Amino acid sequence: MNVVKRNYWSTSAILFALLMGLVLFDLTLGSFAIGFSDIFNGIFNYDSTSTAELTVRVFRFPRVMTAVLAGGALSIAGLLMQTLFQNPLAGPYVLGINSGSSLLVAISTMSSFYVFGSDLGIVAAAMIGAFGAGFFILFCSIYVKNKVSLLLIGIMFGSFAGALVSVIQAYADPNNLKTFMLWSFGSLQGVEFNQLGILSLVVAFGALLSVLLIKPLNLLQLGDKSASLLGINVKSIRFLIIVATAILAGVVTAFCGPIAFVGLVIPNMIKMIYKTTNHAHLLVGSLLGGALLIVVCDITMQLLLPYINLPLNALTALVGAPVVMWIIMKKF
Amino acid sequence: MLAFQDLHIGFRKTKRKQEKALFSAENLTFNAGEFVAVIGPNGSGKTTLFNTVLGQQEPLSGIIKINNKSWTDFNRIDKAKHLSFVPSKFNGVDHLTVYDLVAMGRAPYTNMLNQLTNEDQLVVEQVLKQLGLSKFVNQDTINLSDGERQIAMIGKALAQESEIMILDEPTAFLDYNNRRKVLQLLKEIAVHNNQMIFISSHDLELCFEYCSRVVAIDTKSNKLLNFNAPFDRKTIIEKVFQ
Repeated sequence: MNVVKRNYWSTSAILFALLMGLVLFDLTLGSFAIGFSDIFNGIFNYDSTSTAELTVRVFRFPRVMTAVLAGGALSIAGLLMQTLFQNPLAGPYVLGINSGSSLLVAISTMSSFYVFGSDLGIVAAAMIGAFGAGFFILFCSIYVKNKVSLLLIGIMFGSFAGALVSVIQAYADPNNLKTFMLWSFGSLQGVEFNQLGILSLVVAFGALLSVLLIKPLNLLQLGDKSASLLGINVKSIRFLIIVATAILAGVVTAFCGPIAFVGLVIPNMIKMIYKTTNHAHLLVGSLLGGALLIVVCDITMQLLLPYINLPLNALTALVGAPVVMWIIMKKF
Repeated sequence: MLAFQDLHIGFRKTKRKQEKALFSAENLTFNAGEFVAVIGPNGSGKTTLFNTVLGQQEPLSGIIKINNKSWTDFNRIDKAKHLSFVPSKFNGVDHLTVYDLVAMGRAPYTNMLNQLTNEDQLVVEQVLKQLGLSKFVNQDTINLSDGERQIAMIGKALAQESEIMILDEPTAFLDYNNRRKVLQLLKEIAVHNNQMIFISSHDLELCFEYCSRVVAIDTKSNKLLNFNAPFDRKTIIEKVFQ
């Protein structure tokens, strides 16, 4: 009996090497070119009198690290959702987690509730919104046993929140409207060097939680009933998966705005490349793939900057929507 | 091994639904090596009986015992070690190979990262050999025929090394040859592995041919009737289906 054991780690190593190369390249891009020695010094051996090192530390390193963390976190969140709902078209966006964030950010920036005034206020509002939406879905999952219905509830929740945002926009002050629109375009520039710690810590926590869920995730692919008869507590696992998704998608939406399509596209691509159902490898692949996509998006934006200022959200949708159509045509 | 004591099967009262009693089984004991079929008309409660035995829903009253221990005293993992289940239809999963599917049966025994020990791998290989699946090991479950996939699912249940295997209508989606093949396989497993095999089916003739025991749900008296081989086919059919 010859059981073919593919070496997934070598695929991951190639993706990792590619990511590292693109990250270094991305660090040199910006309003002016910066050499590799300045990049190294700016990160590890910072001297505030050098403009180049200052630029690297204050703008570029946070920007590129945010790209890596945001892409990785969103695509892990997408993978979790797709396995939970056993639907290749599920993602944090579909579940309404981003919409929850948008709604609270809209309220905090455009209405007369100035509870969250500052920049960090937006982060707090988005986090609260993401968890609110996550727990709403969780609450529904107690009563709604059917997973397709749960997905539809998520979509309806998203539309409802979107409509509320439109109402708020209609009555908003133009300056406040601008703040909200800029947030909703999605940006990698919003994270400062000292906030990187918080972002990476939260993302690491979410990723660790996902690693602990590898076995249940693998078994859930056989269906809820088979999984529970193999010793999995499906209810509590469902709870943990939604918590992990809310953490990962919530923190990224908070810092970077609602970024669409990454969570939907990358896990599907990774499944095609890796050709496995083992979530140990799919998680690593999604992390690397998501990071790669956002870094590539960032490189594209930086290269196009002299000619056109593309919002991140427009770019991911421009790349993502055709890929989703392709997946649908291929699979259904 | 598996025993029902004054068991009443049905649905409990919920907010939306009234209580619905289906049938009762007074005292029945099933032993290792027996190949048992549950027969009965549609809607008589075959699936409900299985769901109750599997712990997916509670009986209205009565006790289910396994090895003289009440079913409610088992935890989730212990249940998975004593009882395996094969659904009537499994559609396959993209990129899930037959080997990986059978290996999933080891889940109650593996660690948190689902890593197979040498012992686990040995069990999986033995199962694949016993079921003649060796040439399919690297194939995607989605590309198998219905019959092959059903046998692969039986492999998953066998890898669980449970004393009792429950199959919900294992022949429902198979052609005539595959029905015979699957039932013959199950009969051999029951004897060879000394497992108790519990199926539900509408293929009465095939059940009478392969099974060692038939329990029938009589919808007139709402009782579970027990018949041992050799079966008096005419009487059973008259009692249950007329």
